[in-house]
Amino acid sequence: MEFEKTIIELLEFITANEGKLNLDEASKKLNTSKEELAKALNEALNRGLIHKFDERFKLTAQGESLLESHREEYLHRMVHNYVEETTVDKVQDWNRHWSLRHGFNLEDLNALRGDLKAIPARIEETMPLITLSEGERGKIVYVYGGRGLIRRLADMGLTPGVEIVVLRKALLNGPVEVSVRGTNLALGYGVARRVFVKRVS
Amino acid sequence: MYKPKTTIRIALAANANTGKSTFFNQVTGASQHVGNWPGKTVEKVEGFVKFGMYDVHILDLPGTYSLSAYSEEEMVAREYIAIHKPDVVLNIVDASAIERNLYLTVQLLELEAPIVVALNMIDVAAKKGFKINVERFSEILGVPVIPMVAISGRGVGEALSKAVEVAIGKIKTSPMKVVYGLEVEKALSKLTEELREKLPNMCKLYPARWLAIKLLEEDEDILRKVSNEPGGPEVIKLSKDIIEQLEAMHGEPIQAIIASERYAIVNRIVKEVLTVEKEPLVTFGERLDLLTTHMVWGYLILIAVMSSVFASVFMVGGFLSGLIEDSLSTLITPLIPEGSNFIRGLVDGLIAGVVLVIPYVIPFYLILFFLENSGYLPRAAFLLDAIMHRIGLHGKAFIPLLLGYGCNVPACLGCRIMETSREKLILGLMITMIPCAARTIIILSLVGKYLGVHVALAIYALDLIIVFTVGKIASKSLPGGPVGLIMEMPPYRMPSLKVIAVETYVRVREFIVIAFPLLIVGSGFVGLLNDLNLLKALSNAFTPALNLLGLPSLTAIPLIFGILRKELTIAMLAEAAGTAEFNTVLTPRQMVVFSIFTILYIPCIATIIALLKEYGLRKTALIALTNISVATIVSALANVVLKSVGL
Repeated sequence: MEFEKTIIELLEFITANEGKLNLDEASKKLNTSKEELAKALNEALNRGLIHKFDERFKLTAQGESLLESHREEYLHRMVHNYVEETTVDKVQDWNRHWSLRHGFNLEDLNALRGDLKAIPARIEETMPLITLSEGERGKIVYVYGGRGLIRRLADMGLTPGVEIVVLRKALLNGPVEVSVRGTNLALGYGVARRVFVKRVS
Repeated sequence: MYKPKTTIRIALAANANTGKSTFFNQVTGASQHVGNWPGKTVEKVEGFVKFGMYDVHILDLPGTYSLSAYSEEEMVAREYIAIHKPDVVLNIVDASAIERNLYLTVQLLELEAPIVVALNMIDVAAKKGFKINVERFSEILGVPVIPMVAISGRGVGEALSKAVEVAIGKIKTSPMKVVYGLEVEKALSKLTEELREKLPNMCKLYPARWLAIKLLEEDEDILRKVSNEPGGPEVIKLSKDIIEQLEAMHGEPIQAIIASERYAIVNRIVKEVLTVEKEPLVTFGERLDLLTTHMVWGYLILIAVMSSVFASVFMVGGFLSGLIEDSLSTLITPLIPEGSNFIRGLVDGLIAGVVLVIPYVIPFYLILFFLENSGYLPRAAFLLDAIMHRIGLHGKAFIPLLLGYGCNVPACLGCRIMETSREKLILGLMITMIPCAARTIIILSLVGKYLGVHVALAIYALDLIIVFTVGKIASKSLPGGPVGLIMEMPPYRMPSLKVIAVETYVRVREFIVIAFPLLIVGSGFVGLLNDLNLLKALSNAFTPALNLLGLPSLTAIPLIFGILRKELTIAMLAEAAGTAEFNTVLTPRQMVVFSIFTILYIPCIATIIALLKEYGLRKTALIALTNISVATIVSALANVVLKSVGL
């Protein structure tokens, strides 16, 4: 999993530097060891995500599409962060963070904000089920996942709008036990992270 | 008028943990037959009962929460109901969790199955303060509803007789129409019409409206079937358009829309028939649940439960097996003609089987079914999910692994509880390296006896590390990703001893049928090889390989026997060595290496058969080859390491 992320970061880095890649420099910027990056580079070449041409690296169509899906996910996370951070009135911190860490300048950010505001989107203040503590209640808003997962959870009673109670959370990113529609279900960490709820007091 | 029939087919359909198997065991007793659905790794459990003048054939469909294409179990259940059309479907509904249970009932009605509802655990529901108006319930559903307490037998006979009466047409039912919301209904009638027109053949096989619902739910199986028909792609095109409109209208994925509406239908029924008379008290079971999933107490209890399972199985087992083996040998040995290894082999095979089944297999199943029926196993899976995730499996995988310590055969058969073939394969690799009861005897009577229990435990620990390492490597290298855990945590219940006894009986019988012929024929065959003086040549062939591991050539024959049955290993070692004082023929290092090698080198024939049944030839070969390579590498390493520390 972590290694997969390293590969994606490497692809991002290569794109940002127009194909030039200095492992020392990349290692510093990405906070990743040179060995790990070299391994990722090898893997990316093996999988046909990039190819080398005239001392520069270029993303293949496959690499492009991987990057694109990653960006998509990135945007989702950003929207969430945006909502969260602005509601607690920390726009300054948010700006600094995104410009220092991710290289967005203020104009980019404001443009993005403008775009976001212009989109007639329905942004709700939801949180992953996993963030509820034992004994807390929540109302299911949506499941972020494939249709198979959505259907399975709905079949088990976790449909939008239904109320759940968190009974028990296991140690170390273990599962969550919830009570729903008069029965108890255990949801693995990976599943519970994809179920978004609103807290009910 | 109804045609008198003498054979009636009843299918049992229910959620998991509703007392369906309790009902089934109560009714059919030991007449059950456990088989496999053709081409599936799903168990087909059937039973028979004589009811008046009728031969009633009861098919226990797998417990499912829904009839989507989520798992093989759900596919099996709905295909059977839709295509094989049982005379009646007896739907067992847990009265104490009526909402989730009726979700399946509604789907059975959609499938236009002739149903009878048995409202089980009415006593538990009453304790929860639920008062259920059974008459009104039956009126709404349009089918008989029978209150029942399967565990004590109350209402069981009536449920059966109502089912029979519906099957023979004595009771006419008028099942409730499942009506969705306005927009969905419009979509459904449009799709149904299109289906009837374009795919008349398929509509003869399945109810047209049900097909329409499945198309709306984007059911993978039905989509595939429809698209293979001439005219199918057009229907799919239409359903795609309709789905798009519905999703836009509701702002939800279609699967959530349909499930929500189904639950709304359920809720309308529940509202009419159920009144909550008092606030439910926190029951003992609920307190026990919180305790057994607690982050400190839960793990302590888990460790205590597991250690007592193993201690009781192996202490009782060790004692009993010695007793049985000694008395059987003294009884039978004088009867065997001198000089024929073949006959002696046959008899040895039979004795070894008895010595395995009575002391180890039976107690293990009794305890397992007790834990399963009481509801403890899901708690253990809950606690272990995080650990199992490190090797790409979820908590449920712990159950087959635990089974493996008793016997690898049921453990391999138990792998079917996993959702994907990837997980099944990872588990199969791991299970075959878990020391079963027979292999535990080898460790105990060799290393345990001569080098001390601490060395035996160290070998156990080493094995556990190897098992998890293999699992980790397999999960890293096999394509696909881990599947998340979605598991019901059923309430704790006092299990019925009769059900446990029947389940144990059926499983043990299945085990005997698979294992005994192999045990007897296999060991007779080796006896025959011995009679023909071929064993020596065979063991010579293996000697160079064994010497690489630092093992003497006298271990070759026991290891060959071990492929047939692990429990023959020790007897054969004694025979090959000419003494049961193994410390006179093996050095401590050789004992350790031999034990490690025996645990890992290859599953026994019975396990291989089980693997073939579950996995097919290619994967079985892969598992066996992995075992051989891991065993060789680990034993060779152990030999080198032990040598270097001067053992």
